[in-house]
Amino acid sequence: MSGPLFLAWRYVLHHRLQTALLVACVTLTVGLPLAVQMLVQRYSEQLMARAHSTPLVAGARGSRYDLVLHALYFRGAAPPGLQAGDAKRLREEELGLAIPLYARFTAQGAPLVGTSLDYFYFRGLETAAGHLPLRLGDCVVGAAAARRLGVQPGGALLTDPENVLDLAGAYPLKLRVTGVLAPSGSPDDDAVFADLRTVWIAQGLGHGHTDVVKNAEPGTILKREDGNVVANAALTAYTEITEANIASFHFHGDEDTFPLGAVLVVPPDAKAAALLRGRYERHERVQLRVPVAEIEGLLGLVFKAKRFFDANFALVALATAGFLALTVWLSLRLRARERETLFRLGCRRGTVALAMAAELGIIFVLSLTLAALAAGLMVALEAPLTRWLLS
Amino acid sequence: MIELRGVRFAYPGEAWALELPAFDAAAGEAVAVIGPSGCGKSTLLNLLAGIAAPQRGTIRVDGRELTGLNDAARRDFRAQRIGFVFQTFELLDYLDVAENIRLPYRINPSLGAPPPLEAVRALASEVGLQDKLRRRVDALSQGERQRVALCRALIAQPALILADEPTGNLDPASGRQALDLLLRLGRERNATLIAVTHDRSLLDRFPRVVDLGAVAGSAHA
Repeated sequence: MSGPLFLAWRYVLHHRLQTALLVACVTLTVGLPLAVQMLVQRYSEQLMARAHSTPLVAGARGSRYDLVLHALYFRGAAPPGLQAGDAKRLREEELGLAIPLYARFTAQGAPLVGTSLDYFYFRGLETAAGHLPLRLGDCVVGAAAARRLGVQPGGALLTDPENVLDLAGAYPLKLRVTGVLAPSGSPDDDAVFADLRTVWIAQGLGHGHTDVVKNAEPGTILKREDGNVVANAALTAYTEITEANIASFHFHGDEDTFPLGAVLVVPPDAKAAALLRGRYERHERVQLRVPVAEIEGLLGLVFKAKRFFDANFALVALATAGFLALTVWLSLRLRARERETLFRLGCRRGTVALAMAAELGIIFVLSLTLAALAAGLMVALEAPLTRWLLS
Repeated sequence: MIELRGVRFAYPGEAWALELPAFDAAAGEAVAVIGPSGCGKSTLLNLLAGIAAPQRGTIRVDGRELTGLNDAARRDFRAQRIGFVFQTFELLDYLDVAENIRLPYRINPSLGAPPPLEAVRALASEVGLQDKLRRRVDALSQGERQRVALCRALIAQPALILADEPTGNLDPASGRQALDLLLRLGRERNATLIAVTHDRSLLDRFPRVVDLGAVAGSAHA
């Protein structure tokens, strides 16, 4: 090791605490904005990638951001009011594929997405194990959710009640896990997918129970009128759909009025998209949005806020540089005799300056190394961090 | 060994000047330099070390004419042929005892590679520090620190040792001990010792004492 570097290294080793403080200051000043920049960059890329792969989203009139975030990332609540009949009418336009989505509920903490098989083909989702949900009560689990919940094909998941204190609410429905999706690096990894009708059953819009007429215990039937049978609470309602009871599950009312969160619309070409947008421009209840435009608008807000943080970081960096300069200046003053001694012992003044510059160099190298490690860690944790940001 | 002739030196912008018609010291000789404050004792050391260059006269040390050398050559000569002992030791607190002794080699490439630890230990054993080579210098007593400084001054086998108040920061007993070591080690190495001191109680230990106030003239330009 050369003389100046040897002296500098010994100096920073001897003054460990001071060195650690300076390294921490410089690392934070350099590393934090770098990490934030990387995270925001990746976050926006993820948001935009999902938006780019989704041509149009239909939903009830209301917040367009809520609608797009719900339809693309299964986060937050979609504007209420969209019905299954609206998806049917979009299909009847024959201007593209209309994929219904209903993600109001969760299953053991993961978003439970009611949809059709078209969704898996549209997103290019494939199972890593098992198969897609084919039957009422089946579900397929995203890769990350399966890992977190520790489930695999043949296992089961329970839907979460909306409100545990609501005794009149729907009971948790036991879902049969038929497959686990291969990782896709998208919000699909964290979701549980089931048939739309399964989710309606979880909501209590459909149900299965023992045959009131043939199998009910004596006294269960309270009254019969106009072809309807009214039973008391002793009637057994099923909380799991099995081969044995699947036939007993049914819905009351008009399915066209059943709720949806959103509909993904995939027109075959730009003309069809333009026609659809034109038709829904002034629709009374339904709005049709282009996710790319909405996410760009949302990111515009995020980046506007980020500019404040950038300015803040710049000011902090300036202040840190000022403190660093002051520290160096004070240190140089305090060490004037040391410099003079080295000179008297025959050291070149340039070598003395080099030794002191090397101390700063070591601090910067350590800081930049730590910042690079932090950035590397950020890259390694990017997927969960981005998922967390999207949650 | 040392030969000064007709030297005149003034610091830039100052009216005071040191005038030294002649000053000599033989190889291996120990000379105490005394004199009132401001008579030019430290200036004399700077001139002998080549740190300052006289405006007039000649200075010859160990056969080299310093006044004919440029700054870099004087610095190299200082590193190779002159050892320093300071009143406040001027050790580097971030180096241990061994590295403080080896410091001249670390900062002067012209001296070559630093001596091995065995050589440092051998030198340190002459001043009783052989077991403290890995100690931090700020954990040593004042007397021990001055002995480390003494080893640092001797490690490169200097022809001339310049000591500026070498006992000034030591108690009388430690001061006498440090001075005796300095005199003995200089004599054993045939190095000339020029020691500036205010402590008249130590002068009897020097074979020769020069009162700079008496031999040098101080002129006001």
